[in-house]
Amino acid sequence: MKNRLVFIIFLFCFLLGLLGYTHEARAQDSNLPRRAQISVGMLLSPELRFQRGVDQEIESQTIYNWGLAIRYAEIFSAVLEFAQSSEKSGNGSSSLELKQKEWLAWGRWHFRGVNIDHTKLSIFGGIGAGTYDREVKTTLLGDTRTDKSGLQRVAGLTLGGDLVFGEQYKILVGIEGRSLFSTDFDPNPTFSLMVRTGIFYRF
Amino acid sequence: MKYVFSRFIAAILVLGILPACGPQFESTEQSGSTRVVSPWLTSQGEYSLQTIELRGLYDLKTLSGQFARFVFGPKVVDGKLQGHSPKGRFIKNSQNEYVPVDDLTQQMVVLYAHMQKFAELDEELGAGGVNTWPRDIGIAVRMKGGVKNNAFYDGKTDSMLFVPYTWDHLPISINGGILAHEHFHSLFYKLVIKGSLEEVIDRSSVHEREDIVLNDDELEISEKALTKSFFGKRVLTNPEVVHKYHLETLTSGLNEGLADFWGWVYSGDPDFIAMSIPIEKGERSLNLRAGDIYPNLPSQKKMTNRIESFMRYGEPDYMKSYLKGPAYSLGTQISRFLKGFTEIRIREREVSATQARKDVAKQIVSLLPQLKEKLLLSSSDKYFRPIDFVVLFAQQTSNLLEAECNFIASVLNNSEEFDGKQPYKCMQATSWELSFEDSNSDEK
Repeated sequence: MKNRLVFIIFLFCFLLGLLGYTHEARAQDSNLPRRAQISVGMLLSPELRFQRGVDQEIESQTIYNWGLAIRYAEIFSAVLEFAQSSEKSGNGSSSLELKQKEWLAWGRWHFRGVNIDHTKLSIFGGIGAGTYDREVKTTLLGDTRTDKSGLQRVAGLTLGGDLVFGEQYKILVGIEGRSLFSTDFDPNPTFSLMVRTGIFYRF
Repeated sequence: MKYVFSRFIAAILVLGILPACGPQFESTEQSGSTRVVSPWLTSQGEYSLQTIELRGLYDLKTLSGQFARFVFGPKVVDGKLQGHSPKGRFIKNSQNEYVPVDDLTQQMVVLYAHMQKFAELDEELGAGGVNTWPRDIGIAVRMKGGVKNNAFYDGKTDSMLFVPYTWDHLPISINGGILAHEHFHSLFYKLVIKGSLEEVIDRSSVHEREDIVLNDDELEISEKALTKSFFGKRVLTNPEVVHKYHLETLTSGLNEGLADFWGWVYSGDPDFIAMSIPIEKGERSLNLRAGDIYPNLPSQKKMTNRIESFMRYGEPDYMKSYLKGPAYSLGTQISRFLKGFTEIRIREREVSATQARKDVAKQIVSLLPQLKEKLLLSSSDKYFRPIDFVVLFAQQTSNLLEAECNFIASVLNNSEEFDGKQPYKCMQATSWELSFEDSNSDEK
C-alpha cells in the first residue's frame, strides 16, 4: 500500500512537472503559435524483451505496449505506457501461468533532429519509471489458486530514433532500445527492442 | 525561475529511479526459513497446493541450502555433478509466502522440501549419517537416446537425476512416492552395494548408469566390453558368470522392491508410480493382483534358467536390458510382501498406518548391512535366493505376532521355490518364530 501511494504521488508530480515544463518552453519560443508546438498521440509498440524463460535461457518474449504520448516542438516527449504479458509452463496435471501488467511513464529528450519537408527524423534518449504487478495462477490436478505480488517498482533508460510524417495529423514510426531495472527482473537490467508506431494530432 | 520546472522533473525522476535500483528485493535475498506455496502430499496420500516451510536455505533464488544443491543440465566431472545452478523465479504474495512462477522453480521447491523431509525420515528410521547433505540433484538431465519421463539415483555421483517429463500426468519431480523411491536407492547403495558388492556387480541399481549423464569421456566403459569378452570366450553358462548375473538381478530386484516399499511408506499410496507413469500400474502396484492372496516370489532356479537363456540366445549387448525384467518382477513381489506384512501389523497391533510403515522401514534399514554380508557370501554353490531375503526379514523382526508369522510363512510357502509344498510353519517360543520342516532340504 505504501509503495502504491509513493508511486501515485510520484506520477502526479511527474505529470505536473511535465505540464509546467511545456508551458515554460512554449513561452520562450515566440516564433510559433503556442498550441502549434504540442502534439498528442496514441502508440502501439511491439517490444522484444530479452529475459530468462522457463528453460533457464535468456530468450525473447514479444510484448505489446499501448501508449499515450505528448510531444512538444519535437524536442521533448512524454509517454505513458501500459503493457501486459503472460507465460505458461507445466503440463495438463500441474501448470503455472504468470501474468504481468506494467505501467511506465517516460520522459524523452530529442537531442538531434533533421527536418525534410513535413518529415522529421529525431534521435532521443530518455528515462522512465513506473510499476508492475504479477499474478500467478497455479493449477494442480484440477485445483487452482491465484496469488498476486502487489505493485513493484521499475525504472528504465531508453535510446532510439523516430520518424514523424505529416503536419496536422502525423504518423510516427521509430525504434528504440531499452533497459529496464527492477530487482525482480531476471536479468536485471532486462534489455528490450521496441518498434514504435503511432498517430499524432498537432494542436 | 527559468529552470525550476526542469530541475523539478529531474529530481522527481531520480527519486523515482533510485529505489528501483537499490537493494535486491526480498525474493532474491531471502534465506533461512521461508514459506512457499507448493504441491505437497496430504495425510491421505493425495496432492494439493499447500504452504510449506523450507528450512536451511542459503539462497532462495537458486534454492541452495542445507538439504539440496541443484545443477541444471549437469555433466559429470571427477565423480561430481557439474553445471550451473538454475535460477528460480517467485512472487511474494500478500501473506508473505513465495509462489513459484514457472514449473522449473516449482520443481526445485518441491524437491528441496522433500529432501528436507527425507533428512528427518532418515534420522527417524536409523539411517541418519548414511547420506551426506546437501543432496546433489540434477534437473533437465540429458540422456543418450533422449530418454524422458523418468528419474534416477546415480551411486557413482551420489546424485538424483531428473530427465524432462513430457506426459500430462503428475510430474515425477512432484511425486513424493517416486522421490522417496529414488532416495531409498541412495541408502541401499551406501549400505549394501558400495564397495565390495559393487566390485562384483559393478552397478548401483537396475537403471543403467552409463546412459544417464552425457559425459563425453566417462561412458566408454566397460560393461559392454566385459559381456563381449565373456561371450568371446564362449563361457556361455559358466556357473560363476551365471551366479554373477543372478546376484546382479537379485540385488537390483531387492533394491527396486525395497525402494517401491519406501515410496509407499512415504506417500501412503500403493500406486504412487502410476500417478506419473500409468503404464507401470499393473506391474508396479503394491496391491496384489486380483485373485492373488500372497505375493509369488520366484525361485532361484527360475531366475538362473532365465539368465542362462538370455546368455545362450540373446544378444550380449542387451544383457543388462534382459535382466531388468526379472529384477523388476522380483522387486514388485518383495514390495507387495512388505506392504502385506505392514497391513497385518496395523491390524494386529492396533497402531496407526503411518507408525506401522515407519516400524517396518526401520527394520529394513537395520537388516541392510546383514543383507550385504549374505549377498557377498553367496556363490555359485550357495545362492542367496529371493526367499532368503524374507527369512532374513523374519529373523530381524523381534516379537513376531502369530498373524505376522503366519503371513511370512504363507508367503514363503507360496513361493515358486517349494512348488506347492508347505515347509514353513510358525511355532511359539518366547514369541512366534518361523520353523522349517522339510527333511529333504537343508533349509534353516
